[in-house]
Amino acid sequence: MNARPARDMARLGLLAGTAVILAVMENQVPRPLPWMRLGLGNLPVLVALLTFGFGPAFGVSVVKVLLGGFLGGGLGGPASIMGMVAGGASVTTMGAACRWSGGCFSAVGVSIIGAVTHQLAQLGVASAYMGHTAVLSLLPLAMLSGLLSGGIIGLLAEWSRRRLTGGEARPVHA
Amino acid sequence: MLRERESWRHPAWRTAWRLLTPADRILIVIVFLGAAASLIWSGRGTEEGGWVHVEVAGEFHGEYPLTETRVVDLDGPAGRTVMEIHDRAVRITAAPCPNQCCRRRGAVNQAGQLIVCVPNRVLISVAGGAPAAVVDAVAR
Repeated sequence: MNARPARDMARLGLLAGTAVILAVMENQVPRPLPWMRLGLGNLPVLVALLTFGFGPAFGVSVVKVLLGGFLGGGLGGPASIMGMVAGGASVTTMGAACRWSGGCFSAVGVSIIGAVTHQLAQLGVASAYMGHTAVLSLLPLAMLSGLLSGGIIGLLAEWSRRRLTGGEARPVHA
Repeated sequence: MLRERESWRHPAWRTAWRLLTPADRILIVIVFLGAAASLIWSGRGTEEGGWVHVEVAGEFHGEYPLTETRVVDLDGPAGRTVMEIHDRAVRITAAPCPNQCCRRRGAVNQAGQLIVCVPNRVLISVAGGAPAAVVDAVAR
């Protein structure tokens, strides 16, 4: 990868920092059910993907998962491994959706793909880890909550991107 | 029909809706159908539950076999929730909360299924063959 201008590096740093803060903050909010959450930490990752492309977005995601796990405690535990696998799978499919769909998905579609992948990967790792498929009964709920949270995060990401890039309309694929 | 409802005419909703591309809408429908299909599949394919694991206010309360009929009173911060095990299924027969969510959940008997009462902090999970907490390891 070519050297990026310092301006872009600074912006990516800000996005990564925001992602860590949002992820840690969201973990403090009590939830009625452990697997239902908005995934606010994914918002900066998506914004990075939309404005800078896959590589930088992957970097932001790695920083988010590592630092978020470090600050939230339990780095290396089963929960953080699930988060790592799910985060990596999510950003990879979102990048693929941006690159190879020819721009037919908006930010909302890309975000839903990422959120649903995140949920599926998490459940996959959970059932593999426990050697028990009972967790898969959460699949319908997980997919619906991924649809909802992915849609909301996608809208927020699109609006943030318009604010950040001065409102110009630009196709999604980078 | 929807146009008559003021809230749907809010500009934010309209811009959000216009943002969606045709592919987005197809994707949403596919995920929805996938969720419905997996609901049907998981309803058929899961194993029968064997044990009921009960937690009240974050603390372990007890484990009961699904095979024995019994009524258990669960005293939580909001009052008394009554759990009944009958016919190899567990249900809530009385709850102190106004919305009665947990009662409307009905009878549950498949491994991995849950009954949750948030106000009274009651968590009832059905486990498979051996008594074990099934849901603890799902990442936060």
